[in-house]
Amino acid sequence: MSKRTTFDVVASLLAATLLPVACRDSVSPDRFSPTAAAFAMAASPIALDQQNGTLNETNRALLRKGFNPTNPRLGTAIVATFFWLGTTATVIDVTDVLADGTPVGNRYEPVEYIVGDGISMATFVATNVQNFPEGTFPDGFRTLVVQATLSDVVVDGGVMISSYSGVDPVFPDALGEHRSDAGSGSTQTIAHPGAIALNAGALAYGVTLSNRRVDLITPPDFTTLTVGPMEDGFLRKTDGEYTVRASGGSADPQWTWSFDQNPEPGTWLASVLALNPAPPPATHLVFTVQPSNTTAGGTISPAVQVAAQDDAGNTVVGFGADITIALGNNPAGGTLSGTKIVTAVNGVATFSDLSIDRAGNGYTLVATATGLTGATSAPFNIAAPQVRVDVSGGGRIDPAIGKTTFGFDVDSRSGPPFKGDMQVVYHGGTSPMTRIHSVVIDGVTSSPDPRGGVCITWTGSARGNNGDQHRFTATACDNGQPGSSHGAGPDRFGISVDGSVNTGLTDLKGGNTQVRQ
Amino acid sequence: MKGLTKLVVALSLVAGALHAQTPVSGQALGAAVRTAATTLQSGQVTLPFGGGFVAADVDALSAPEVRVDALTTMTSGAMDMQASTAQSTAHLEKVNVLNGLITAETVIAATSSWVSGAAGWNAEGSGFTNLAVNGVPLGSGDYLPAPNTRVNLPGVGYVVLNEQIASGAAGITVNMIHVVLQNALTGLTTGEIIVASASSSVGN
Repeated sequence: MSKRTTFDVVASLLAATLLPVACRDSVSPDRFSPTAAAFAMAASPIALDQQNGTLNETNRALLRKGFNPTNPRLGTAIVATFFWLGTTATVIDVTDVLADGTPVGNRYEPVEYIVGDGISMATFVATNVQNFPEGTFPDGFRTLVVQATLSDVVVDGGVMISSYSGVDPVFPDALGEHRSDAGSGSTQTIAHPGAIALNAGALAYGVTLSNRRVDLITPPDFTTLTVGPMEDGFLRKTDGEYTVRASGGSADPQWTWSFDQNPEPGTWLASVLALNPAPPPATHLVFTVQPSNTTAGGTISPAVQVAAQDDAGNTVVGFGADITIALGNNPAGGTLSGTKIVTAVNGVATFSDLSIDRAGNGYTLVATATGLTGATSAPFNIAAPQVRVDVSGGGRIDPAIGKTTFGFDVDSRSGPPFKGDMQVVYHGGTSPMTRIHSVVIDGVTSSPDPRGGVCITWTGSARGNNGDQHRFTATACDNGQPGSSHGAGPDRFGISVDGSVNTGLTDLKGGNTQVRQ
Repeated sequence: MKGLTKLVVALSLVAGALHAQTPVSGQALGAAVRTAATTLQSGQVTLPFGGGFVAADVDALSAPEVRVDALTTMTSGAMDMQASTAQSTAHLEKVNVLNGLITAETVIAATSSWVSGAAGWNAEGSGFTNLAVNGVPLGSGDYLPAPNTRVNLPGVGYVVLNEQIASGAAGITVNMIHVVLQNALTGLTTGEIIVASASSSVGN
């Protein structure tokens, strides 16, 4: 008896894939562990879909079987196990076609391959199968057929195929642990490939083959495929089993072969593999990187990111559809520029070149994707672009808060912090005089003045009467006319302090502002 | 001819440079007293050469002749190739001159001067709130007397309200309260009190 450690295939790509999976007792990485908890309390979505099998493939190099009369559902995973007499022939490739010969083209990945004492067994898996008609086809012409091309003609062979819904559509994520073993005996002999770990909700598929036609006791904690137990005069006997464990754990299908019923010792082969369930579907979008405050025309940085998440709030890494972003709240009539439709990668769409052309506070972005609940970002602000100006002025305004005098000189040509000073005094009714002074300026922006000139806005911190620190925003508009000439209206000035005191942008009752750009 | 053209161009450049360098000046003053017993200046600010911004705050002024709860004075100015401007303000709260002879809730002096092609000045923004002289309210609420309004102060002298003194094409000083103290018998000036003064000038 010998156990193959590699498939003997001609295609180098296939060979490269086979090497890690064909080793006896091979165990693949536990790719599903990080999200296993998400499934712990939920029923598994995996269920048996269709099955079929045969041991009547004689004197041929092509082992094939169709899902007659009913094809699997699209998107299911197909597990195909091939049996044959002899140990020299190897699998060249596994493909699928319709019974009328039409190629289908799903990719079947080799998972387990074991030989011993004149018999061979190889198991392949295709996930998310597509490109064939669903339904029942009594005439057989459109039946999906799975076939293995062997390197040599074999005297006898067979195929066991079964399909399962609810399996992760991405093969590397779908495939869990897998392993094989072989043995022999002349008494009642337990055949088992060894235990594999199962993620929550995963499917365990087990298959065995013996070169003796004797009684077989199937594993007690598995469900027998109706096509599992097959026997003929050459290959003798097979069985296929499966189980789905909602809470995960481990699986080790154990068959009992009654080799004592035959004068010759018997040999058994056994394989087991795990297929992980499909992750919960994405149901909604979430801004995982919110838009940041920036200046008009500037790229919003860091890049905005939107994730497709399931109901439990986990990002669905399999989501790869387009996500579209647009302006939601648009306080200044701005235009959103940049790449606004991005295909999600691993469930996340990254919008790296977004910009908005107009300054305003309280913008929001809205993300949408077909079939998912959209998301609205947190509010953010777009400031007018930084400018290089020197603005000075002083005078009086009479806003609602009371008579206000002011003076300032701000130079934005260096900084921030910018050079400059400002003082504002207002006196309303019988309340004492309030002074805003000792400013530190950290932002200066510019915008056109409809009166023909320009408005300069500067922001920063300042001290009040008691030396308390306040945030302020001040704006001076130069009407473009000389001195105090009104032109299209007087120069204007306004200040807000902590958002609670606000003069509004008010016509000057006296004085002047001068912007030098 | 060619040399004359060069000379004209050179003169034009000099004229432009002179325009760009039109100097600005400004001052503001909260109060000033000059009597035999008292000499003081409170909250005086002067605009630096070349412009900029200067301010001064006085939380309380309490002299025998003048009491003010709070005052702030400011002056600012700038000059460039297109225009030169200067402006000053004095903003006083709860003013009491000569033990209630002149009172006001608020007094603001404001001046503005500019040269930008044409030259000009004004004192817009100046005014009183609840002004009373000799115990008699003048106006109601916000009030701005005509420039250089003189009111006698019996036994004391007289006061000029909204005193405006022009200087050149773009210079102006406004003294909102200018009290002239006089000897009751001889009529000779014995002192002065100025409250809320602002001045600005460009090119003078």
